[in-house]
Amino acid sequence: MNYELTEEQKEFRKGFWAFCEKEIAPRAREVDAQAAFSFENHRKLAEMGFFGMPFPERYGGGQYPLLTCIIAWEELARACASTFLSCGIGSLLSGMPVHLFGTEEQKRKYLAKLIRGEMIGAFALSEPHCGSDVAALKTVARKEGGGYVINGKKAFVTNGPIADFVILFAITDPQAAPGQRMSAFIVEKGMPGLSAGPPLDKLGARGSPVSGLTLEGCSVSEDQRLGAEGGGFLCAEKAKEFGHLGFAAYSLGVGQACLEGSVKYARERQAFGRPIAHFQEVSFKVADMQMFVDTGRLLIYRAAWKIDQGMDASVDASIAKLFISEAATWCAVNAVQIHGGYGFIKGYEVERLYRDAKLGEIGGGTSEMQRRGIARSLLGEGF
Amino acid sequence: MEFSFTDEQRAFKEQVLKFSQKEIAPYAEESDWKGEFCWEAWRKMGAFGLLGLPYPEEYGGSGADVVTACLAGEALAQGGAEGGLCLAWGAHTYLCGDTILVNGSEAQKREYVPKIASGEWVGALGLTEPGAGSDAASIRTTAKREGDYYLLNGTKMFITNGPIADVLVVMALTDKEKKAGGISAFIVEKDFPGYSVGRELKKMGVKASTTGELIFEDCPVPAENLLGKEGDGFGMALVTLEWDRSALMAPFLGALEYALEASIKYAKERVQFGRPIASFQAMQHKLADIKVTVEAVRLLIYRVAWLKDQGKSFNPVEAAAAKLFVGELGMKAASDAVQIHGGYGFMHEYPVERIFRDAKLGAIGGGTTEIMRLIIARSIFAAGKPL
Repeated sequence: MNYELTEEQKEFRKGFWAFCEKEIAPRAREVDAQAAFSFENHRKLAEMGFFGMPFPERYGGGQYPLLTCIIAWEELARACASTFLSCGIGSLLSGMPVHLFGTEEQKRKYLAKLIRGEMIGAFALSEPHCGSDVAALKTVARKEGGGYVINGKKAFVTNGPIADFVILFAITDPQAAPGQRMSAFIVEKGMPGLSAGPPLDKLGARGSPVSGLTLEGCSVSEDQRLGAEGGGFLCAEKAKEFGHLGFAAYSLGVGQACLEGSVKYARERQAFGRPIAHFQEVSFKVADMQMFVDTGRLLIYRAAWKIDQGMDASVDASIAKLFISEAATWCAVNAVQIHGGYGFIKGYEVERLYRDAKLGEIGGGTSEMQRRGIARSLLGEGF
Repeated sequence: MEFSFTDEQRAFKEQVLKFSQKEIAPYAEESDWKGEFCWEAWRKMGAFGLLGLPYPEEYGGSGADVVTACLAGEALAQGGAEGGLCLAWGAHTYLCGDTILVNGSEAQKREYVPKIASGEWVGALGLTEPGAGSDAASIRTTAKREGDYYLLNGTKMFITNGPIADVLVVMALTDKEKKAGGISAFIVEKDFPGYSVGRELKKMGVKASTTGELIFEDCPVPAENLLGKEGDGFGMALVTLEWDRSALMAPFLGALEYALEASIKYAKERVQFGRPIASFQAMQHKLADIKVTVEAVRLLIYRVAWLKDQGKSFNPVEAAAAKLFVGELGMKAASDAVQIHGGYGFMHEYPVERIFRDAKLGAIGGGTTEIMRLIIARSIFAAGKPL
């Protein structure tokens, strides 16, 4: 047992935060106000090796343990949740499937370029009519010639408008057993029959572009299939777990930012002759924020540690995401409250954090689905 | 970072769990109902080695580290032991016994620790007073030096094990002017003249632990029973409070695990509207929430235990975080467990009923959730930045 980060990890956190504070945080407000992806942020993150952190050195990655990656993810989310969503979760969910299931060729073609920042990736599973209910997927990849023709619509694809390649899921055998019906594909921007819808106008994480995708007779060669035919479900399941950790880190960063913003404001703002930090209604909210963020961090670290040890951490990752995402919303609501009227005004960070926080409870698997999964782990099959 | 227990620790926990299920849990229902201390269970715990678990072998203990001792407390409750019995263990072994072990002279240690380790003598800590709870530094019991004795005068309140204690560590003012810095700790034996037990208090929960009022009327305590030096008392009290927020919290974790297991079992068996209620999302929601609380509490309590095993005896913020979480979210989890059981959860014969009553103490005893928030908030606003 050891609750202490190594000196190396502590130094890494300091250094990475210094980078985020200098290069990413100053642009957070603008990115949100303009609902525009920052290619500048993307370039800077590529330059400092962020995209390659969890991936093998062979493809230009840093091959860091997942726990170290989480440290970076939290700090990036703390600086700018939108940037973390697109660059962090976006690269994780498009890179991991290739890393885990790709051929050598696919890794060179997509993973290596993702890592270098030459390509932006996306993950397309959800459809207009199905998010939580993955089994209701309708996009079809029909075998034709030596490849497949894909028809269907995808929804809520983070990076959809700007992605160079997309990990896309489609039914290849409707008659197969439920876990074998789907396959994963890598489709590229510019492929005939693939088009991205307009960027959606979102409540929060506005600097991360999201759109639908339409596939109309999109023809792909067999080389574009990712993993075995029928292996899509397994790929999606693996991705789901990384998604849980990614969104847990998203929420942790937002929660931490709420805590810090509240502390700063409460120290400075005076009322009734003293800093409002003096009043228990304020200081006790801050103490609770600290408790939530601190506990959430332990839950995420444990899940990441288990994965690094090769242990099954699916329930732990679910627990971490559920807890910290709901806690982050609580922190954001109370951070706005601590700021009083100013918390309601654009330009005050907590106004944005309030909107950013909500996504944590939805994206990458809703809280309802997390509870369902945790309950199933307790009850066994059949419930 | 590493979140594993050693094989040894896990094996020991399993041992205690089985011991609790077989030997201790059967006493739970009745001892809670009657609100009576269960001596048979206590003696069994003494024989098993739980009462002196963390003490060095030379004083009758097993030399267990804090993590292991917490595992024992957790397993005791997880196996179904009644909450008051677990609290009695914590107060006896840690608040009293450990305070003497850490601060006592060789003579004091040899005199008292082995008897506490075996359970032959029951120990208690006398800190809280009718007028001093959260504001522990404002205690008013005095200890006036007279020749070879200190004369103690005052009353203590809410003292766990008070009514049955053979030995007590009592905090009293030797120097009023110095306030907290003038508090000293004394070892008092129940047979000292001028010491008496006032009324035994009847409680909402942890009912099988005895809680009482203690009265000191010119109670002469031999000078050699001063623990440490004059003025050392408050520092010792702060360490006991940290035990309240770590080792004494471990049984609350165990109780939640017991409640979760009971709830899973009940939800699978109870059929309504033609199906097990475990198939309804409203029930699954609560089970998942209890599980989240259990896992979070586990991480928080063992962090404090680990820090102490690293030699850091004082970790106020981490201890406050653990206690605050148990106090607030532990109560919700216990409430959810009752709710899952529906009407049966309201009946005494279902253990979740007493676990719910016990859970409220988590938000009060050993430090209220308000004080926990105060501690955390102070650390945040005093330092340059949050943890």
